[in-house]
Amino acid sequence: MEEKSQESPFEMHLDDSGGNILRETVRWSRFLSIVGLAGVGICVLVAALGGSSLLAVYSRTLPGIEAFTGFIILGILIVLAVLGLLMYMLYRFSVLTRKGIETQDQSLFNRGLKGLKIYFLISGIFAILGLLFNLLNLASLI
Amino acid sequence: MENQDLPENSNQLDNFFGISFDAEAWGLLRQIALWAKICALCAFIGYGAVLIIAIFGHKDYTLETEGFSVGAYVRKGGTIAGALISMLIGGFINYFLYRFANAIGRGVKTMDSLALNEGFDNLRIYFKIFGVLLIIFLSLVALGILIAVIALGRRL
Repeated sequence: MEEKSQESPFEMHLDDSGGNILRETVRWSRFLSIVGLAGVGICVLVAALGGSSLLAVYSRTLPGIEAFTGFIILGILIVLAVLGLLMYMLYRFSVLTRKGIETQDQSLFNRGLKGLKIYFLISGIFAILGLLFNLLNLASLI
Repeated sequence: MENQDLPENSNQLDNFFGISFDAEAWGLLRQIALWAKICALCAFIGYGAVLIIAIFGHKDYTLETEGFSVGAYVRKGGTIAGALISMLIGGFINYFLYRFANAIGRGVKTMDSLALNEGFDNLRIYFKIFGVLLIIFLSLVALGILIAVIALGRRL
């Protein structure tokens, strides 16, 4: 009884149905994150092995692009690093939440939710940037 | 015998009860709901903007100046169709993200476990649709590679 009265008023237990739903959710998110990480890895390999020949092809259609090679490489690296981080956070959510539920470890469960929070935070920033880009395009029509 | 089975069954049923939404989890869920809603709303507005750009945007003048006036209109039609398809698919996926954000936000406010379950169920559907689309995409890529390899083999 004493233990119950010391429980935080915020506390609410995960029920059976919620646990099952979360288990299936993390199964799909793990699949997405693994494929995403593999995709980012392939992009890094392509950029490292064939980056110079790709730039040579683009320089034929867009003359003068060679002057910005450094910026382009830096931009691609930043985008790939952010995408990698995004997929890693989704993977963390999948693994830690599942482990947390299976071992009934509250701190692991919370760390998993933190991964999901960072995943949506990064996605949200990307979404805002994408929206700004679209609105700028729209404004150029007027 | 039944009594012997009981503890095991009850242990399985109680499997998830050790996990709770404490103050830290509530805070995290609130922020997850906020950012998920931002993602979904930006996506909805973005799809609308892309469709307007596709409809009212400039025709491909490079084709028109080269004497392909009809070609420019066909290309514009293709852009509108592309924008409509991406709006339909993206809108369908993001609808579940919006429902997830709404249900989690409501669950956090009212401390309603049913709303939380509803929210996570929508997140499950959201990831599931993404997963199925990814499987279809990867299958098409694999099919393309297979066709390319067969075509190369026949040439050699």
